[in-house]
Amino acid sequence: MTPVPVSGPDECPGARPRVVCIDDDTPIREAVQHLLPGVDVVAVHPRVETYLADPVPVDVVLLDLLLLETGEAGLQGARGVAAVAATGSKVLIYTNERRREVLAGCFAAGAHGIAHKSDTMSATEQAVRAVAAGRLVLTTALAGLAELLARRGELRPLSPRKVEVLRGRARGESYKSIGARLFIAPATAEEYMSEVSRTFAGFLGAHSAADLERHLGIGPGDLLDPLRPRSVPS
Amino acid sequence: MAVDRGARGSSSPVTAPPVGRGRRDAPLLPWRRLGGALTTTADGVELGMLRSFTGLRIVNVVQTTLAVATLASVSPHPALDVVLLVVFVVETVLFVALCLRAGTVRRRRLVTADIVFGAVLLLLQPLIAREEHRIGSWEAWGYAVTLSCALLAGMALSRRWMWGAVVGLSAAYLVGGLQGNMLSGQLWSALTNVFGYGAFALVGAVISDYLRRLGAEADLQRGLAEQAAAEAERNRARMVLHDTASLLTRLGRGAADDAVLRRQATAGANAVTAFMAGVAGREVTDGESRCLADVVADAASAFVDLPITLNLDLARDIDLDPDLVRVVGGAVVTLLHNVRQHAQADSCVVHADATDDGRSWEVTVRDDGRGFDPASTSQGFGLSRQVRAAAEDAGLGVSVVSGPDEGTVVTLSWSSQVTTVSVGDASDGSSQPPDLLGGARLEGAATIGG
Repeated sequence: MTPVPVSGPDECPGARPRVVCIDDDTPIREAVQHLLPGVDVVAVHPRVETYLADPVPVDVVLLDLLLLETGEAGLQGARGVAAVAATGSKVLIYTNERRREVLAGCFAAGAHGIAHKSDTMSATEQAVRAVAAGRLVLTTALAGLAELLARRGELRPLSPRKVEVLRGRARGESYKSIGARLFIAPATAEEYMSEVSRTFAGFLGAHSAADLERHLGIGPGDLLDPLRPRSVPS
Repeated sequence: MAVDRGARGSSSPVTAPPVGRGRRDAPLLPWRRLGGALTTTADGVELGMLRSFTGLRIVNVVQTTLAVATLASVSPHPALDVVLLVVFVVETVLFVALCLRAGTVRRRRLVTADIVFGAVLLLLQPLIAREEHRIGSWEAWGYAVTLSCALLAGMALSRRWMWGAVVGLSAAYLVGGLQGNMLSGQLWSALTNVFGYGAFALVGAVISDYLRRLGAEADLQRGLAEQAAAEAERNRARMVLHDTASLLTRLGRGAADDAVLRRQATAGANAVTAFMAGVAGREVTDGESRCLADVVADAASAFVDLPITLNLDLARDIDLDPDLVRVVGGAVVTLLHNVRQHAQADSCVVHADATDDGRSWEVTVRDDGRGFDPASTSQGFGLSRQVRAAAEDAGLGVSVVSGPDEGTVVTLSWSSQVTTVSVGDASDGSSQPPDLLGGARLEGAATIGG
């Protein structure tokens, strides 16, 4: 889904972010510079380990989650995110992964954002720029997860404005539309979402995936488990 | 029948159906119309009134025949008495035959002729009845048989002509009956009888007016029902073809290798086949209550080719009855077909939400595509009928918000208290639909119903 820049006051729209791409897909590695003409791709790696061997300082590391095509099991997924984030680089997850809880776990491992490979390239480049500028980038699916947590009372209390912005984002509403609806500037709406996002990231960092499922009631056999047999009222 | 008539288009005027109308195709055998069941149509009403008049005249003929047979011997002119009876019978037969041929008594010239003939009969009564028997006696049988003339005037003529006929018959009766030396009380009897003409005419007018209105209303409603059936048939066809058209478009664009599309194409072909075989169109439900989130997820599962995000967890506590399962599932399928077909969207979000007490819920389908101007663009069959009409029939509120290059937001909402139907544009940058769950309302949206 289209990534969502959520915070960061130090963006420089005219600058060309320096990017490293870690992806086991050869066509991606070879074409990423052409696909993202507004950034400078300074290095590409098929594995996290090769990047860690030569961690060039960059603005953003574009990181695939599933890195198996080289035939060697290594750092990938949340561990890969954590390893790259430990170098001080800002990680933008770039993946086909759609499972929301998996994305949440990887985001909690230290990523600054998530972009899907199905997104338009302009949206992906926009996400790179946002992460480079220090913002967090959430997908709409994760905004929906944050809304669910907020509704369950799992996030620390949010102001009514933040709740309204979060609700809009979870429904795919643009900041422009949210701003018009709430009579605030789009940038103000982004700032509200930024604070919600950091609260959300804090929650994810403090809870395991099992905790998350338990808190949400979506674990196997739990009350909101989609596969749990449901009684039908007569 | 419904299909054939429906092909003429919904704008065709309402007309009475041919079935059950008067049989105008048998002019050479008009007497057949005196038998058989009457149809509940305007033509049936006309035929019924004609039969009633004919029955009354038959009674008149029988009674008059008996009277002539027993009283002609005392008539001043017995032969004339018999001749007048024969002429009356012949006139009645001719009149009824001509009216049966037309299928109605509303033939002004014929009716006028019958009334004039009745008046002549009344004027000739002094020739066939003795002076003391010209009022209140079957010896002067003209009064008895001309009451049917007054009834006929009420059935067949306008009010003005009817009262004219009543006056004419009354005058003829008084002129013919009050000639010569009258017995005590005959004048008052004659004046009393004159009111009979007015009463018969009035009864005929009132009853015929009412019956004709009933017949016309029956024809109108039958025609409307026929048009509704034809429209329902067209809608059923559209239901099947609308989504199938979307699939064909995708396949035509070279997506035939897509396994999901192939499955959908197979399902669409099955739907068309079932439709042609007379089976109901698309069925989204198996007739069981289901969770709202599952219903929406299942509906969206066939659209993996779209950039869809499903945020449905907030609606996992809501169970829908089978009717709503069908409506909501069908609406989401149609909306996503529209996104696929028209939106050119980079993003599509399907969101479901519900209040904690389960008294309100909503489903929102939002895309960031090219949108449309609700003020100048028709919503098309899918949105207007398969989504809006079906949802409103099921008691759901429907909101459509869109603007050129602003995407489209369609919200289905249900509340145990209120349903809202609105349409708006997103030209001000806001594209949030009316919201049962959080209070935000769309700026600039125009409420068109509720």
